[in-house]
Amino acid sequence: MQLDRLALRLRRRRPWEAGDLGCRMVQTWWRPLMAAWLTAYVPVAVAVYVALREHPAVAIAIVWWLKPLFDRVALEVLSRAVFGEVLSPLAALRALRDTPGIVASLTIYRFDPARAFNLPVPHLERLRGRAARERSRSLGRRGRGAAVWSTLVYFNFELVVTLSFFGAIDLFTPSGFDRDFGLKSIFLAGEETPWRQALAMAMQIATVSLIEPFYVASGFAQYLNRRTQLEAWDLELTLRNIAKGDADGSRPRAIAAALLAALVLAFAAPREAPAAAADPETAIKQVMTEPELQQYKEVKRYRWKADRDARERDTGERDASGLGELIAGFARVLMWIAAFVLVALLLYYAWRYVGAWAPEPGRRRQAPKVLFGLDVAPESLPPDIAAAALAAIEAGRAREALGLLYRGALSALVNRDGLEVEAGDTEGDCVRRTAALVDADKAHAFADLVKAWQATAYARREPSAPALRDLLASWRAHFEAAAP
Amino acid sequence: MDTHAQNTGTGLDPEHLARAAADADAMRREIGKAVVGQEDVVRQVLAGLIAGGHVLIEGVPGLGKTLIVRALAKTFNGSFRRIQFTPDLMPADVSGHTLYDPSTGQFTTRRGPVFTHLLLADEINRAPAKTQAALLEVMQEGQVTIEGESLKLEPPFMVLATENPIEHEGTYALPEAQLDRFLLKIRIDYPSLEEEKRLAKQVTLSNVGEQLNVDAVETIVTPEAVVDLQRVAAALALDDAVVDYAVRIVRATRTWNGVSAGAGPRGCIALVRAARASALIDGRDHVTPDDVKHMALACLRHRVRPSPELEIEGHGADTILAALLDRVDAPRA
Repeated sequence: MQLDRLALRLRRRRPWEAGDLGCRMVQTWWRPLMAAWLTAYVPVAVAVYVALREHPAVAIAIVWWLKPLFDRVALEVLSRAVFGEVLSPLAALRALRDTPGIVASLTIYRFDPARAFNLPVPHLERLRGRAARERSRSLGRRGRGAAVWSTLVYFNFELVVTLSFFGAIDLFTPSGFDRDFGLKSIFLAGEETPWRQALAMAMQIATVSLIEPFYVASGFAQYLNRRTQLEAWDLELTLRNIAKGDADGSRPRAIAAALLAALVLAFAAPREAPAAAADPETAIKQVMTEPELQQYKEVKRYRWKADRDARERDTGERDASGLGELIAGFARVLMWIAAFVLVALLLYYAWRYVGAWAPEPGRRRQAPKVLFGLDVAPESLPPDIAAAALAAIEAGRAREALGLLYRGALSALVNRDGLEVEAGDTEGDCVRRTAALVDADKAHAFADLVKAWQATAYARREPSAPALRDLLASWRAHFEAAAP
Repeated sequence: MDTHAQNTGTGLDPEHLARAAADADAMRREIGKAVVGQEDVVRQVLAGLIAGGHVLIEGVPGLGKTLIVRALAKTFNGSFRRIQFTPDLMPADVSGHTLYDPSTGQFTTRRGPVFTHLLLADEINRAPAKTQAALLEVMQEGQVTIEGESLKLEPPFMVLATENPIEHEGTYALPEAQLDRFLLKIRIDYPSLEEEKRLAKQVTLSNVGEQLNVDAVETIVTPEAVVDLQRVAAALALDDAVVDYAVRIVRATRTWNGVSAGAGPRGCIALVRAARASALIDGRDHVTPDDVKHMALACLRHRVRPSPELEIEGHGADTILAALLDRVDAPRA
């Protein structure tokens, strides 16, 4: 690997950023890439569509199935372009002759959700069978998720572009003409005239040619990024540059760069051995014999039996269900969060409404001290209200007498009968609430008292002495507290 | 009435007041003979008349809106007209117009249906804005101008406009400024089970067809007596604490959470007027906070606009006002 000839700036990127780098690759080297792609793809697609024009669905399926084949052509061009080599379309096609794993990629791995990411393993590293599988697994350990998602994203892109093409036909069809060759024709087979078939075929070819190179490039860039992480290409390049700087005699820069490299090395993730080394097994064995790796410690802990059973069932052959595992893991986390929130809510409401359903006797609401600007706390009233009211009547202080009776009645209702009065309650509301709480006679007596009080308060019309005595008598009957 | 009443100092002779209160109460009971249930609605319509205002009634068709108006008209021997508002109704159809009579060579003035005591403007939101405006002008001024000649309407004059809350296809919603001209907006709802049973029996008994029957209603007062009722209501004793309560309620609508536009000073005036009428119907010579509270919904529901987020949640002006009334402190006498 001649890393110093690489036309990319190597650094550790996130998988998505690497995907963007792939799009930049397509923009930079679109000439050789599109030339090779169209040379490979268009003739085959046209031939299949024409040969199977009676069965358009079969033709579309076959051309779709052959995609990995064309992807290799695009990959070949890109893999040379990153080293500054421009490949002619024919040279790219020739590369297909001696690339391994074509059959596998058209059969078992046709539905691999991380297709573009894994394609360089057989095509560029020339690995096949078990070796290729292991290599893909080690690459996919941190990067498969993003690769699967990109496949989904590009699949959707293709869908959108296809629908847009057909939608454009609908858009430009003048009204009055039949519209059965627009979006409708995707779902309902209409009348198949040759030109329509040709147009549908052209649109299919255009869609795939527009999207697929980007997909391949983004998978390739993610693959390069993963290898940069695994094999520390970026560090290797830095060290080489330092070596070169040494030769040039530029000491200070070299020292700074060396320090930087040392720092990066100190904090870098432990490096995995590249599975593509010449003979990895002997290398590993050799490394394992070193004294640092000969320290064993026995650790005991409890484990679920289910885990053990599952591990026994797990034969080590992991299937390609990365997306499924991802969704399952996600759902599991969500479920735990939901359960936690639910329990927290239950606890909160239990705490908030504790005792709301079963009020204990004796735990009554604190009776208010002041109502309508009047003090109704028992201690604020004279001990013998009736006597005090009578004295006020005798002295001709009607308003004071009525006020005493009214406050006494309210105080009795609030403190003894549990009348609850809110800030916005008018006198009439109090009368209505009282009617629901106490017997009719008492409620009636209170209503009369309120009426007299309202006339005094709002009409400045004080009741006459006889009326006051009547009110006092009924007050004594209903509101006077039993002797303490 | 309080039997121990002395002269109240409001300039009202107690006997006069007692007579007025008895009249108001009798009118309410007479309307109740024809209209089954809907006591609140009847009471509010009567309060609207006594307060000298106009009312907007909202309710689905067939709940007896016309019946209430006809019964009310019959109680004081008032004239009653009904206009069905439609998109092609012109202002002249409401107020009247002048015609050239070729046989006499004279212009004759044809008075429109507004020349009446009680005017039922059915589905007022079906007519275009200029026709609505013509009617609203009549409501405001109490007079009609035809060909430059102003004609006074004979009091009492009251407009009862109706709106159907469920159909908005092809309607012209009344703008807020015009809604403000109505003293009350009354909601009329379906009758209860018992009321509906009584209603079915009463309407079908010895009555062919579905003609609404107001024969049972007797005329008890004259239109002049109604004008007198309005004067008495305006003279009832009103304590500062009660005015303060009404003002605090209206002011609270402007700052209340969930109201995008509150009621203006006109809402305040309307609330006090309606409270006075309510006190008279109850036979009192003074206004209490209860009167204000009872009338607050009808006075303010068309003057406040709930915020969009509350409307989306399905809360109308009534819900907001009910919450507001619970929170505004009642007067401390």
